[in-house]
Amino acid sequence: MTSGFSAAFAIAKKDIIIQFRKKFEAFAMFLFALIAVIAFSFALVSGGSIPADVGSAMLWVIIFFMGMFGFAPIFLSESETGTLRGLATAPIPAWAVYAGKVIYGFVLMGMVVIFLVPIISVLFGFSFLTNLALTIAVLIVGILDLAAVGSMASALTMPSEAKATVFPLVYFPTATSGLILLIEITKSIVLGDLFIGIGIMGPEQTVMLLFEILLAHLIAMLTLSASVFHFALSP
Amino acid sequence: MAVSKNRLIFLGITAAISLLYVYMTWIFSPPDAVLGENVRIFFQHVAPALVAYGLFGGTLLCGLLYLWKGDLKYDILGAVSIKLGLLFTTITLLSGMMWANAAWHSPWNWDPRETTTLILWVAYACILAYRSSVSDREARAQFGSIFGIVAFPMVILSYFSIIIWDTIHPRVITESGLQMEVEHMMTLFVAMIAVTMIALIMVDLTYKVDSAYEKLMRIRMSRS
Amino acid sequence: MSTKAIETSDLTRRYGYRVALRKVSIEFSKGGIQGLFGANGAGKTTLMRVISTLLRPHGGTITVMGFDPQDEPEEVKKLLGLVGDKPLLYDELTGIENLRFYSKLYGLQSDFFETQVEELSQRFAIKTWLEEPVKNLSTGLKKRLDIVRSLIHNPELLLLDEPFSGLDKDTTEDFQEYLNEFRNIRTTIVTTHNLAFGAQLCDEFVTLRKGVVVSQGPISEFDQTL
Repeated sequence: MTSGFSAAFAIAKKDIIIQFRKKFEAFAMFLFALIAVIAFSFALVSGGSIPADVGSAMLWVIIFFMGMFGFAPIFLSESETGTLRGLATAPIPAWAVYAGKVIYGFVLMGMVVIFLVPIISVLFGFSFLTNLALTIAVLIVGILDLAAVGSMASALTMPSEAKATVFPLVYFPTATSGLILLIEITKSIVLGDLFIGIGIMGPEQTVMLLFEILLAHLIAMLTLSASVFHFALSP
Repeated sequence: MAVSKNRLIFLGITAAISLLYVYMTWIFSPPDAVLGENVRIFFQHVAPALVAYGLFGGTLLCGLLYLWKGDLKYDILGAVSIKLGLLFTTITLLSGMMWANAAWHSPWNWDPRETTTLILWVAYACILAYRSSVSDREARAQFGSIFGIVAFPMVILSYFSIIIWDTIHPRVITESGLQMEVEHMMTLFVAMIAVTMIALIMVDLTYKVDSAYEKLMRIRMSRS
Repeated sequence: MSTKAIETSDLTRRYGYRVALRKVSIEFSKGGIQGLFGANGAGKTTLMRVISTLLRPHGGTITVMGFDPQDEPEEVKKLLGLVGDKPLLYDELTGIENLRFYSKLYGLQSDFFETQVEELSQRFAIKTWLEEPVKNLSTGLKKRLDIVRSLIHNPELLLLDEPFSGLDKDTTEDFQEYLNEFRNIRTTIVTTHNLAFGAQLCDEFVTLRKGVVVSQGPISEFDQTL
């Protein structure tokens, strides 16, 4: 049997190439984000600015919602064209199909976020420069977490009669726990000195704890989804 | 139609305990020093909350059993779990809001337990909505089970995430301790038993109805 | 090691409240071209899907080339090739990119892959179209490319679900010729509702009606009037 990882990478690579040629989802995600920024600005701006912790939290909320455009088609396109059968009957483990899609989701979202973060940080007036290393780490782990949830949610929409409408219903409850952690860690970065830790733990220790929980959350999500995935691929 | 002897006994005990529960809630329990008569809503809140979370665990269990064994009866039970879970979560939220209003004059405070229960409600509702959108019975069972299994740890983890969020943001309203008189403790204990037993009866009845309905559908389909 | 390509015993599969396969017990020998006949809705596609591990049986047992598709799916998938109504091709990729993708999934060595591509693309007259994105190809070309895709890993068992629908006469004859050549080293199972066509192509047959086996056996016993 083909190694699971090489199969996963082959699937991710295939999807990335297709996205480079079609570009549709990436553009839709980016445009949605800009529209959301404008819409939120009406709600949040007072006196020409938004508090830094609120702005950075909105970044994650926007990324979270962008997932609807980026992640929903992950399995939907394969199921509609019928190509999912090709993946399901290839001698590869079911978890490899899931892993490949998560990697693709991560790259897709990552590409858009790279452009989005500088733009939103300027528009919403906050800075990640106080801890760039942690920012990058959180972005990577966070986007991977959302991609893991989004890919699973996309797979679950396949048997539904109303696939597009049902995606948010599956995506949101499962993504909430990760979102809360991401918002919290990001707030700690932008608040810099203003951030107080929990109880007797100082700010640095708190952030480390949060990051560890986020990492645990990611690993839990990935392993759980990968284990049940073969039930989704061959019902 | 005869009801089995064990079921009758269970029903009888439940009825007795429920009557005891009503008595204790309204007559036996003294008014609370701080909350006054409003303390009585407390008893209707804790037990349904436990049942709500318990049924969510039931959904997880049924999902796992269905994927393992492939027998639709596990999925029928899982669906019952979700429906009743939604009901009990609603009761928990509403009674909780009444209590919060009485205790702190504000029905909703984004307390970690309140927020997690809200998330639980949304998760239940989403699973239900999702299931209704899958018309193939087997696919509904298969994918519904997967959704239930993946949603469970997420809701549990939400609780921990929210606790952290909550600890970082000191709350304006602090929880006023209930002066738990001995009578209150006893009433609470009886409440929990009564509500759990009522919930079990509801699960049993709903399961029977749903099973019968499925059997009917199967017979109709095989005739056509 | 089983001498049969497919063996099922009381195989059952439901779709919702409808039974698609009801206690189906059949046998297909190894080698040759076997036919799975029946009208639309008889359960042919469902049976093909259970054989290819896509669906799990709700009752009964099945062995594919000696393996249980639920217990040892990788073994079954390794030797399986399938062609259905929808081509398993990605529109934005070129023909060769599609084939290369599948070769990675099947773990093919590159020289083996190159030889296969050369031979098969020549055979099915798609060689000049390999660098073209699939979305630009005509239906006929797509179908031929799909056939090449299914054969790229040299499968021992080939499942063809209504393979000749939509093919022009030349391609049909060409494909038939190809299938005949490999009668001894490969088992091919073809589903069709065109009984006359099936009768002249196949060695053995199984007929399904509404999920139930109506008749089976060597083609000499096949009676079209039933």
